[in-house]
Amino acid sequence: MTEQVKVFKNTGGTAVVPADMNAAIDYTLYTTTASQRAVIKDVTFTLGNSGKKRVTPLLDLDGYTAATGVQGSLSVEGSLIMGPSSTLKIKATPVSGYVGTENYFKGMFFTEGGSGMQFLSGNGSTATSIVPTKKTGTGHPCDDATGAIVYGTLHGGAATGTRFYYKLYNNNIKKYNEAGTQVHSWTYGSTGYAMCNDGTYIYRCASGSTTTIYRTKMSDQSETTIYTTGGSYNAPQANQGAGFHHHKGYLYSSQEGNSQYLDKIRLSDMNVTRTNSGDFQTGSYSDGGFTTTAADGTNYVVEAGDNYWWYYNIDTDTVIRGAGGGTSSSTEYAQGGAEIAPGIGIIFGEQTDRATLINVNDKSFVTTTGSGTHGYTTDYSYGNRFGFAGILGSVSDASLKDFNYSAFVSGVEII
Amino acid sequence: MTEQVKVFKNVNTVTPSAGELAGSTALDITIVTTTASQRAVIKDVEFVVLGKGKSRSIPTLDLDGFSKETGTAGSLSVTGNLIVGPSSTLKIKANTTADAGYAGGFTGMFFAEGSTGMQYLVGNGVTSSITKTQRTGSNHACDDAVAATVGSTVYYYKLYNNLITKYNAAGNSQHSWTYGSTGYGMCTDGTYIYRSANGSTSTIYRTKLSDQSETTLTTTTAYNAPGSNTGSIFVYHDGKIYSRDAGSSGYLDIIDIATLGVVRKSSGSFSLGSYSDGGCVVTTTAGKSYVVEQGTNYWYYYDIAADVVTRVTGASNGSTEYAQGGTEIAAGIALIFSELSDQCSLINMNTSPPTWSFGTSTPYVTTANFGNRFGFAGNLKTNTEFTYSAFATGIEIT
Repeated sequence: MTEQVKVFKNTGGTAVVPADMNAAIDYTLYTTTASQRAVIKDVTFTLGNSGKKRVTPLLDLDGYTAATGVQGSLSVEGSLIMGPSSTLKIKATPVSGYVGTENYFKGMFFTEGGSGMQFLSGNGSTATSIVPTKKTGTGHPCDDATGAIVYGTLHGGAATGTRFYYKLYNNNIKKYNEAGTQVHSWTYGSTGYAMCNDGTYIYRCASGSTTTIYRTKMSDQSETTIYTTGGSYNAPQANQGAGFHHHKGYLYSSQEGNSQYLDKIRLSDMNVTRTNSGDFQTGSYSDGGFTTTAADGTNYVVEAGDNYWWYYNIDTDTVIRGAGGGTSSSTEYAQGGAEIAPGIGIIFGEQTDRATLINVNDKSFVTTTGSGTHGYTTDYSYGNRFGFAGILGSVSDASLKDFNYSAFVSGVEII
Repeated sequence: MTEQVKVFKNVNTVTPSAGELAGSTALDITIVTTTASQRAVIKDVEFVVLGKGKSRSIPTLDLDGFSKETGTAGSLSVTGNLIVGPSSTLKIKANTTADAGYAGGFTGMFFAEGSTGMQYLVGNGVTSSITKTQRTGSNHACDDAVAATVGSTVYYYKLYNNLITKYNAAGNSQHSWTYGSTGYGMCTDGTYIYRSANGSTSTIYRTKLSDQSETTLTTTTAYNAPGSNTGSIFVYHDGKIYSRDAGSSGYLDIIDIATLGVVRKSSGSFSLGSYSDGGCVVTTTAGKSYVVEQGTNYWYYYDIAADVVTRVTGASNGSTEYAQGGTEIAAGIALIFSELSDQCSLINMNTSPPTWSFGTSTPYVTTANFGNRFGFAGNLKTNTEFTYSAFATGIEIT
C-alpha cells in the first residue's frame, strides 16, 4: 500500500461561473476508484461576487452531509476518510432573493427650483449614507420620475446595463444618464402626471379615472397603449402628489391625498382591483410614496401626506395608518418618493424643502421640516414641481445575485 | 521518499517597489515553489506589514491561483497542514490600495463668523504656500473644525453651538447633527469624530464618520476640555487626544482612546497668557511629532516622543478667543488664525530652532474679517509607506 500527500482539486485562479444562478449546485470534488482510498485533510470552498451569500454549501460524501458551511464559504480541516468508489461533492441550493451587504442606492432628484438636478448615492442600507451631488442648477420641473437599469447600447448605454433616470413633465419624458446629461426626450400619450417602470417598460398613467396606460419599452423606445380590464383605475392628477408605482408585476395607483382607496393593476392580464379604507386618506395633499420589500420579505406600498402616512401590506391586503402624524405639507404638485434601502424610503416635500424618512422595518416616520437640515440634497430650493428617481441595486440589478465558486481539496491518497 | 523539515522563507523589513508602494502594482511575493519531483506540507506562514501604510494591504495566501486564506489589514498568520503538490507555487498576494498621501498635498476649510465667510485653502503639503478661494460670505460661526476622508472624499466639519455641519469641498452643506451637550472642541482619527464636553469632564461624544452612529465615551478620570471663549485645543494624534481648557492653564491632558485613560502633563510652560488662539499636532519631515499652541503672550511646542514642553516668546496679543484656529498645513508647519486684527501665526517645526512669525492673514484668506468665532479644518495627506516581513516553514518531500 502506498500513501502520498496530494492536492486533489484546485480550481486555481479560474472560478466556476454557473450558467444558471438559481440552479442547485452539485459539484464533484474528488472520486476514488475501486482500488483507491483517501484521507481528506483540507476542503476549502469559496464563493465570490455580490451574490455569494445566497449559497450555503454542504460537503457531501456519497449522500452523507459531512459538513455544512456558512453563507458564502465552507472550510473543513481534519481527516475525512473516503472508501473505494466514493464521491465527495459540494451541494447547495441558492436562495432566490438577494442576500448580502453589497447593495447600493443611486437616484436622481429633479427640481424646478435652484436645487436643480441632484444625484444621490447611498449604501442601500441606511439613509445616513446618502451623499448628494448637484449636477445642474434650476429648471428641472417634474411631475414624477423613475430610474432603471437599461440593457443595450441605445442612447449611450451598454449591453451589460446602464443606469438611466427619467423625468416626466407636461407629458414629456426626458432621459438622463448618471452624469446628468439628457440623452433623449419623447412624448407619448396625452395628459398624465405619474410614471413607473418594471425594468423593461415605463408605464405612464393617464389622469384621474381612466383605463389607459402609455407604455414605452426602455431598450428600443417602442410605444404601446395598454388598457386595464374589469374597470377603470384612478391615477394621480395635477397638483396632487399621490403615486403610481410598480412592484413585482403589479401597478399600484392612488389619485390624491383625500382618496380612500388604492387601485391595483395586474400586468399579466391588466385586471384592476380596488382596496377601500379610510386609512388611505393622507389629508388634503399627498407628498408621494414608494413601494418596497422590507428586510423580512414583506411587500409594502407606502405614502405620506399632510396629515397622515400609511403602509399597505401587499401580502395581506391590509392598510395601516402609521404613527407620527403627517408631513404638514401645504401643497404638492409632484411625487417625491423613492425606496432607498429594503423597507426604507425618502419622500421629498414641497414646503420648506422638507424630507420624510419612512422605515417600514420598524414602522418609523421622521419628517425633517427645517430647510437646510436633512442633508439629502446639497441645497434647499425645490420649487413646486419635483420628482425622485431611485434605483435600489438589490431590486433592479440582477448582477447583484451573481456568484462564482472555487475549490481546493488536499489529503493523502492511499493505493 | 525523503522528508525534511525546512524554513522555506524568512525575509524581514523588505521595502516594496515604487509601484507597490504607490498602489499601482499588486504585491505578489513567492513563498514556496516546488519542482516536478517535490511536494511539501506547509506548517506555518506568517506575513506582517509594518509602517503607516500597513492597513493598505489585506494579504491572501495563494496556491496556484487559489486564494487559500485571507488575512486582516497588514497581516496574515496561518498554521496547520497545507499540502503543496509538485510544480506548485505558494504566494502572498495583495491588491494594495492607492497611497492617499504619496503625492502629498493639503486642503482645508476656514469657517469664519465675519465676512471672511467660508474659505477653501489648497497647498502643496510641503511649504506654507496656499491658494485661497472664498466659498461663501459671512455667517459661518464656528467653535472648532476638522477634516476627514470618508470613502474617497474629503469633507469638512464645522462645530458651533454643539451642532456639527458637514461640508464638501465646494462648500455645500451635506449633513448636520447634534449629539451630546455643551462642548467647544472636536477632532478626528479618520474613523470617528470625537467631540469634547466642557471644562473638567470625563465625557466624549463620538460619531462614526461612515454611518453617523453615535456613542458616548467615558474617560477613566476627568480631563479638561476647551471652555467657552478660551480657544485652546482638542486634537488627535496616533491613538491619543491632546486636550487643554484655556490659555492660562499649566497642563496638557492626554487621553488614550484605546483605554480611555487620562495622563496629565503639568508645566508652567503650557501657560500661554490669558487666551489661546488654538493649535494642532504637526509631524516634521524628519518624522518628529509635536503639539503646538499659540497664546496671548507665548507659544509652546510639546515633543510627544520626548515628553518635553518648550515655551517660546512670541505673542499673538489676542484679546479674546472664542475659537480654535489652528491646523497643520504642511509637514511640520502649523497655521493658526487669531481673532485680534484677523491675523495669524505660522510655526515651522522643521527648522532648529523652530521658526515663528505673526502677521497678516491675507496670504491665506481672500478677505481678513474673521469675527469672533472661527475654526480651521485641515486635511494634510501623510505618507503611508510600508515594509513587510515573511516567514514560512514546513516539510519538504522529495
